[in-house]
Amino acid sequence: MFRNYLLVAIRNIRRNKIFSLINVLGLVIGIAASTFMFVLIYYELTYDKDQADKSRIFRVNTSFAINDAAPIGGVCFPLVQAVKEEVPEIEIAAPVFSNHITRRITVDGKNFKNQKLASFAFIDEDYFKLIKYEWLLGSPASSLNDPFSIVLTKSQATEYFPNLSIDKISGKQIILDDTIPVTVTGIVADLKGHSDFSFTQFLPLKISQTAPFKNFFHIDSWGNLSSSNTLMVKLRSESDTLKVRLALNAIQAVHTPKDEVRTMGLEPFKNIHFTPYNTFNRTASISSLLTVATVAGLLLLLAIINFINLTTAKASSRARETGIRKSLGSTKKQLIWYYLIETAILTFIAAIIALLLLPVLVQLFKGFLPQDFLIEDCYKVEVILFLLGVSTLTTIIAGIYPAVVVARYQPVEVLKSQVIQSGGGSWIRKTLIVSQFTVAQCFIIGALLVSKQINFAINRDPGFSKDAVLVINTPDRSNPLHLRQQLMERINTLPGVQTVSLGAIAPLASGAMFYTISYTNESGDQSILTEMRFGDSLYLPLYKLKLLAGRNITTSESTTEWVANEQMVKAMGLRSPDEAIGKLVNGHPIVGVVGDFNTYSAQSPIRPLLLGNNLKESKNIHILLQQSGNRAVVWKQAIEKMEGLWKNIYPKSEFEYSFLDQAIENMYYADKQVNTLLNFSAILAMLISSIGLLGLVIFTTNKRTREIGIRKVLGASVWQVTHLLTLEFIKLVAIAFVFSIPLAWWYMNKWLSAYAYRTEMSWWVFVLGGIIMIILALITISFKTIRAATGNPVTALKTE
Amino acid sequence: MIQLQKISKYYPVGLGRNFILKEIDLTINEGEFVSIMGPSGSGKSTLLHIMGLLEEPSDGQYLFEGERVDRMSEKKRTELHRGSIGFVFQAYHLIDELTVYENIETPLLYKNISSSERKSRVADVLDRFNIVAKKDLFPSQLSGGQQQLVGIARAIVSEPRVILADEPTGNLHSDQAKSIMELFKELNEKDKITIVQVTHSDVNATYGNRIIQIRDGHIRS
Ligand SMILES: Nc1ncnc2c1ncn2[C@@H]1O[C@H](COP(=O)(O)OP(=O)(O)OP(=O)(O)O)[C@@H](O)[C@H]1O
Ligand SMILES: [Mg+2]
Repeated sequence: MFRNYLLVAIRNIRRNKIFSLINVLGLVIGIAASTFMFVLIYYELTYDKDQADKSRIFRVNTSFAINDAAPIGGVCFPLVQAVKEEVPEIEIAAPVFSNHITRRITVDGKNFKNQKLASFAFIDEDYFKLIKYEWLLGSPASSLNDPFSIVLTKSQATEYFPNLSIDKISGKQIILDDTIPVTVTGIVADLKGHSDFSFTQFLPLKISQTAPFKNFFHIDSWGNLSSSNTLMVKLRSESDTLKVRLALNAIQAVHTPKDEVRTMGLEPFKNIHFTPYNTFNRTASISSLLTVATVAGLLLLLAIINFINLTTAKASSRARETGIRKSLGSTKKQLIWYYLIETAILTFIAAIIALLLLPVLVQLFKGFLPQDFLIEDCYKVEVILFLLGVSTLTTIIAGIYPAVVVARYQPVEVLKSQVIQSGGGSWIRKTLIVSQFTVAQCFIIGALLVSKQINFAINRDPGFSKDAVLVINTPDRSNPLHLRQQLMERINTLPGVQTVSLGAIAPLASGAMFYTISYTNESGDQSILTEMRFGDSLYLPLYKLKLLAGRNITTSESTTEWVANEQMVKAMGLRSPDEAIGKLVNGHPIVGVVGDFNTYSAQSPIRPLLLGNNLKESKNIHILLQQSGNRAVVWKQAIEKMEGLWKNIYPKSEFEYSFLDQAIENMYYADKQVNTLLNFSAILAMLISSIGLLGLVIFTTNKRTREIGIRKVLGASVWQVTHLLTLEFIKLVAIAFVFSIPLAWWYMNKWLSAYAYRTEMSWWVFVLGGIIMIILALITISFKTIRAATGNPVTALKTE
Repeated sequence: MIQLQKISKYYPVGLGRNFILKEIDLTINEGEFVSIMGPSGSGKSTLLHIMGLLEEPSDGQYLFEGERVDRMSEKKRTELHRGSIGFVFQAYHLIDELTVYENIETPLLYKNISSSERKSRVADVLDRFNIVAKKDLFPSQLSGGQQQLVGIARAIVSEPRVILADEPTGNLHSDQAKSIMELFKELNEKDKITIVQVTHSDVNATYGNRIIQIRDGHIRS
């Protein structure tokens, strides 16, 4: 029986080639897109999936109770030792401090950069108790004894010493930043699977006490906090969580600087890949993943709707078969199975094509995937299981309704009469088409609005001038102030350079810099979490910050005065910028107030900010280039000359620069990804819907061939007939447009509300979206209708 | 075997009803060979459909082997289609996607007959109807008459106890018609299969042992 079903199903698929093709195509798009998105989501969700005792492992967070700032995934240096000694409920306290200090690594005369995220860490023995590595050389106990030792993973060791065996690597020397020799004392196997702990080289945290590193760590400071200094803890029992939190807070509270409130928190291990705030590795956003999952679900749904639509439309052609089979003794149930098998075949063909397409998609959308994602990550048992699951689910959802519709036909209705109504209410089909186009329309409007917002955010006036600004980062090490000043002065003389300023980070930058400052007013001592900028007297004019009161800062080696922004004035409880002049903050007077400018992406509001005149903190050279003349040539020459000057002053460091406007644009990377996703989904949604529409048009037009023939014999023009056929479908698309307006409006409003600065949801975006869809639908429909309308009526009537 | 009591069939026309069959009383006993005759549109096919459980009467009672058809479950009706009733359609109604062989095999599949037995039975009827050479062709590749032969072959292959044939020889040459009629007669006499056929041909009608004339929805014997 099954063989018979299979045979007929395959013959049926082959006989209706166009229909099957359209159906499979829709399914391929839906299944391929959702599998691709599944691969992405699964990848993010399986970080460190084999880590043991996850439920007892936490990252220690610090948050400033003031200003509701998000917690920071780091701790103060002395907390580490205190926790190890004073909290008995903690079994393991493992510091994982990212090494952002080392820039250059020299092995046998060859130089390597320390650039990758989470590749170099300071750790102690306890780290290896928490994260289990297989030791190929040395041991946790022996390899970290000497502060100047280094442990490498196998892959890193092979990169540094390509031709040496493991025992030969043992004892080899590696030089950090040209001056610090360390010895390889251990090699561990790389962790299997993808992990947030993707470090490949480890220095003992002890090294922080030695001369070359001392200055980079605030070993005794209970106030200084860096998000690079992560502390992972493993509790003896999950139920101790509260106790440990209280203990952590108690320890920190004793030492927290005056007037400051800090709260210590425990971030469960399973969250650390997803917390939006800083940690040592790239994080993923749960809400983005949810968006991706929703989009995947919707695309699949569209494909399923397509299938149902086309199959029920075509049901009448199967009705006779139902009738005959019933008269020969088939039950309804057997018939439902029979039609389901046909759906299953189509779905599985689509799934196989989708599987084959997967690597192509990965290649095509590389930019959308995490950088550490590999093609191999597609070929997993889980992916195959997902495909099987999706295919089965699709078969059931897409197949069951059409199968029931077809199997419901009574023999006499279909065997007696010549004309058979198509299956299922036509209103169901219309509803499905309308919902399909509603989804597609929402995607189109969404894609338009997201790109409008990104454009707005990038091109918006941030409150300072960002054009033609080049920023050069000078080295962290062996870089006394006079070297920086020397370079700056020489750059200043280059043709094409307009202004040069020495400062810390640019007004708008991805790395935030916060201080808790103290300030005294009538009601006593206040502390304000403040964003900091530092620079010389040219910083303010170079960025064209608008001075509202007072004067600019003067150049000084260490802080002597401040310029505040308007938010700062507000935070200090003052009514006007003028009132702020002369007020003391951290013991130094405010000498000027500038208008607010954006310090981060459009998502964040402007915070209180101080610009101090501290050259020691100023390690970036900000260069305003001339904007007249042939920019491309002049700038290129200027940058080449700068590199020459750099080589003279910092012969061992690499010259690195960035254009501020590009750096700002790069901050919208995540939004651009959402935009890519939406564009891509909008195209797919439109494609699936169009395919569905085309199928329905072909079917309806074929069914009406006789009517068209008769009308033409009676004198209807090609235009009149086309019009008649087209109108019916365009009405559905128009209804979808109407439905999509409130939906798209509601969702995009929600999306935009995450931005402190947002573009308007202009009516023209909706109209444009509607026009795009109508045009695409018209093109789709005209494929078939024009041919039908221009066809010779006699052939149409004869074949009928 | 088949008992029709005051069976009517009508379709609503405007406010009134258009009667196709009007209070038909008819009993067909096991082993009979009945021919139904009448002008076009007189309701012969309708009557046969009702007997074949393909259509419900508007009024009246139909007893199949003493059991009321209107009270039968869907399952029981399916059982009857599988085992007891073989139907030959006026319009052949072969499954387009199946070959001649597979079309004939289908009722056996529904009866869960073993593969080897299916093979021999299908081979047997193919042989009997002289269509072995056509067994791998699809209905669209056959002439009208050939399709009709396949339809009859399909009806008898499952060895039903009643064969209901709607103009089984309408498209056949008189020689072929004769051999079909002889086959029916043989099935009727040897295997005691009850046969009800609709026919326009007086000659064919005489193969049966009873002729029923139908006119204006009434039986006139
Ligand atoms: N669904 C329907 N609605 C209205 N009238 C119907 C319907 N189905 C059949 N009829 C009518 O029932 C009558 C009997 O039809 P039937 O097919 O039984 O005739 P017949 O005797 O088999 O004719 P023929 O010899 O041409 O095959 C016809 O007049 C037909 O118009
Ligand atoms: Mg008839």
